[in-house]
Amino acid sequence: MTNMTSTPFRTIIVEDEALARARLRKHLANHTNLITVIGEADNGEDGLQLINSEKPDLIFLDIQMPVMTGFEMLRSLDHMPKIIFTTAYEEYAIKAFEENSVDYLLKPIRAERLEKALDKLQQMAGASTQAVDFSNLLQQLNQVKQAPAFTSITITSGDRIIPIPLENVAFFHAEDKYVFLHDFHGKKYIVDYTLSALQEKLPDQFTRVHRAHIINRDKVLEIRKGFNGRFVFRMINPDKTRIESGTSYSSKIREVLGL
Amino acid sequence: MTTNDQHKKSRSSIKAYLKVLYYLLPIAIIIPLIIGNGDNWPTKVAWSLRLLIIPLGTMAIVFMAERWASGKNWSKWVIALSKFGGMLLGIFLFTSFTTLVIDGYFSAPALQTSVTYTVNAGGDTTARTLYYNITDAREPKIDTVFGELPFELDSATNSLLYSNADISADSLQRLMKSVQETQKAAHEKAAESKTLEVTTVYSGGWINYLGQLVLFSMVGMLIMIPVLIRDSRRQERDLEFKEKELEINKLHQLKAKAELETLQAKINPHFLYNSLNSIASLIHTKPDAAENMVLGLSDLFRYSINSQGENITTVDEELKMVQTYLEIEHHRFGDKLQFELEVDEPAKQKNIPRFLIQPLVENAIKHGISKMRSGTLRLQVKSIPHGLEIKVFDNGPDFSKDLMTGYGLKSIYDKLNLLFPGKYEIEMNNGANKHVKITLKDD
Repeated sequence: MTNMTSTPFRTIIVEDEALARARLRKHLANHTNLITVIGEADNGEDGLQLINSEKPDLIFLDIQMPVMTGFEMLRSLDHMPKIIFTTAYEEYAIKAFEENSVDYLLKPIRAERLEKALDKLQQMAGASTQAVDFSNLLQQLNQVKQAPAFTSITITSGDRIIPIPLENVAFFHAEDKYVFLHDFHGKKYIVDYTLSALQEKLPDQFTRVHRAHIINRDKVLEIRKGFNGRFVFRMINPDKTRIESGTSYSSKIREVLGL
Repeated sequence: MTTNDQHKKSRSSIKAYLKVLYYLLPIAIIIPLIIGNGDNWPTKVAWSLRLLIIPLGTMAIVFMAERWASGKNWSKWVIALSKFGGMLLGIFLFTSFTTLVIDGYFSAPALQTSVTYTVNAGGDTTARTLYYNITDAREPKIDTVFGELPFELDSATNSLLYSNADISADSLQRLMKSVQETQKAAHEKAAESKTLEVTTVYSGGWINYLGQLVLFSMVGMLIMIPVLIRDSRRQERDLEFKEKELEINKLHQLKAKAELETLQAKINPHFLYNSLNSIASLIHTKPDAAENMVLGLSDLFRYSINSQGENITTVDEELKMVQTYLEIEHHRFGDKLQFELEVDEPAKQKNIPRFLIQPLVENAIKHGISKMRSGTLRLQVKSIPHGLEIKVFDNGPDFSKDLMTGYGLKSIYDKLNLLFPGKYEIEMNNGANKHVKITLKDD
């Protein structure tokens, strides 16, 4: 390997696990002509400070870290070095890394793979000064990382929180100023959300069928047609609660039921 | 079709019945009053009864036919045909019934009418004015009335036989009355008279009856055909609904199956790769620690792969696995992760779902301790009267009070819903003693 740059890259490792840092350091020790490790951080917050003060040429960045994740850290950097991502698992958008960073390394890191990344680093160093188009990276990541679907709703009273998984919910019912959650065991809880807020946040299998009702379609025992294009649902709960839809919701219901 | 559906169907039949009665009653009263203006009261009542009995009786038979046919698993066309047949049968039965019973009692059969006419035309066949005398077995009040009848006389025989399908004592009377009024003057001028016997032979009974049958059948068809069309559309929709319901049921089944599969808990791949990375590092520096970690990982995977397909385990077994898990995490996190396990003896042999506690611990590390520079995790398993209490404490940030997205908690619920349905409680507590608590009740 030939070093085209006269001075080695001043490098910082941001990685939460001591063993992983040690391993990376050990590998990098074989490339002293190219890499000088000038610092290490075991969380994003410390990493942020260190990078802003030391202004390194290159960072090895783990994505999942305590206090502040790799991405959160990147968002608040003043100084933008070249980045080689290290990650254990391809849950983050690999494509975004490929296009917008020097390289990404999957853990456990192999020596040959690291060498390849360093080759790439040298080529890029010759070509341009700004290797990372960070705004582009973030944009792509935001596209890929969709908001995760909600799986439970919480019933709170003071410091006490009872999580109810959404699949236990038969339906929500608004009465006076309160919204009640009815689960399929027949239990009833007061929730802190309005039906409209729930309608917005709840996943797909929940449908507003009435001004005062949101039902879980997975907990429908039977559907019948009522008068004026209404639908009558019977729910899976001990009471087999009968819920009649509102006329203004008919077309939406028809759509989600595929009728 | 379930019995519930059957009940609903019969209830809706009764509803339809009452609805028809509601509209029919005024019609049955008003029509004979208006149309049968000149009829006598018994005739009006007879028509009212006819208009009530025939449709209601026919409907009853149609409903019976419908119920009978819908139990047969026939095609909708055969069912429609059965209902149509029921309608015709009903009309036949109830028209016959009303003709026999009501006509027999309320309205004089015209057969018994005998009329004697006295012609005063003096042989002038064009005058067409006649006296007549009418006797009727049922209507003794109608006696000698006078008037003109609109028929030609046979001057050769001076006799005629009057035969008319429509003639009943009642309508004859009406006819004669009007003739009488307009022709009274003519009668007074009459010079001579001849008497001839006229016998009305009432042959209209059958024709009247057949006429009614045809009339009612036509009306029946007019009503029945749109009803049948509407019904067949409704049946199609019902079928669609049924298919939809079937689909929903299938989804439920698939879901239950998927839920069972989630019981085959998975070790988080993130955890696996990170552990392997740690091992790769330790191999050179601390071979013994690396060996321990490999052994721990294999125990964990053996437990997770669950080749026996067991869904239930003892607290003791689960805790051994949790301990192994925590030791591996401890290698990775170093002193950042401290943990304490507390379990009382009677709790150790109690049964719990496999991988019930591990996700709690994993969550406490992922959402709690890993967010801190250092953290302590405390796991407490305690037997309580008629049950078991599992608490996982950590010193990380508070539990979110918003809707939650985690799958760890969901997998715990999946397991408990299947294996401890209705016998568990989960709650979280924020604050100084931040913890998550699962309470299991004994059978």
